[in-house]
Amino acid sequence: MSKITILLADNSVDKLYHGLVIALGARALGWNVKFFVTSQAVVLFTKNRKGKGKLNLPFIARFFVKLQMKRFNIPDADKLIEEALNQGVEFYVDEAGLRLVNAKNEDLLENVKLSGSISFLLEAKDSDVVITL
Amino acid sequence: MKIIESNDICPIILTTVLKEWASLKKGEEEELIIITNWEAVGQELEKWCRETGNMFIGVTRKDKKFEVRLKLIKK
Repeated sequence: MSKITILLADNSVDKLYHGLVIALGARALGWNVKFFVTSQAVVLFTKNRKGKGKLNLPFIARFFVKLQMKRFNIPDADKLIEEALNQGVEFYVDEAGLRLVNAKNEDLLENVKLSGSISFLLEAKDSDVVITL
Repeated sequence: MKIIESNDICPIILTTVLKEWASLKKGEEEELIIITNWEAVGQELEKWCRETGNMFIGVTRKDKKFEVRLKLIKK
């Protein structure tokens, strides 16, 4: 079975979105998907935020993009996270990142695990595709 | 035959098709028609079928919608 490892190190919701779309596509192909989240992106995987982050756009543009997303039936990132978890994407968050955003293990979404650089490196080494966002 | 009418984006449609495929028992087949307004869905599903051993039948355009036909095969 092919394997992909995705590393998200930016808390912008557009990058998270791209990562989730790739992860879901990979699962549809039957690939093993490891999704590592580090730095401030960790906050997107807490129960409080659940994928709700900022779009890296000025206010008016952000408003327009949100409006267009609704118009074209493009789901929010939280729906994609839920789908990805249901489809067996394995999410790992960096413990240091978690502390940086003042969160604890119990604040994480269900089935999101803690990890560190060694876990990422070993999974990346063993993967057919590695993507950093 | 099952018809899925959805204007959701490609990964969501892929997930829906995947769930349908997973629900089949070994040796079962099911024809699916996906009606969508996203053009890329057809080409993505064609590649998905090739990779997973399912059969892509084709895409037709009807007004502003695309009708994607495929046959799910559970080996």
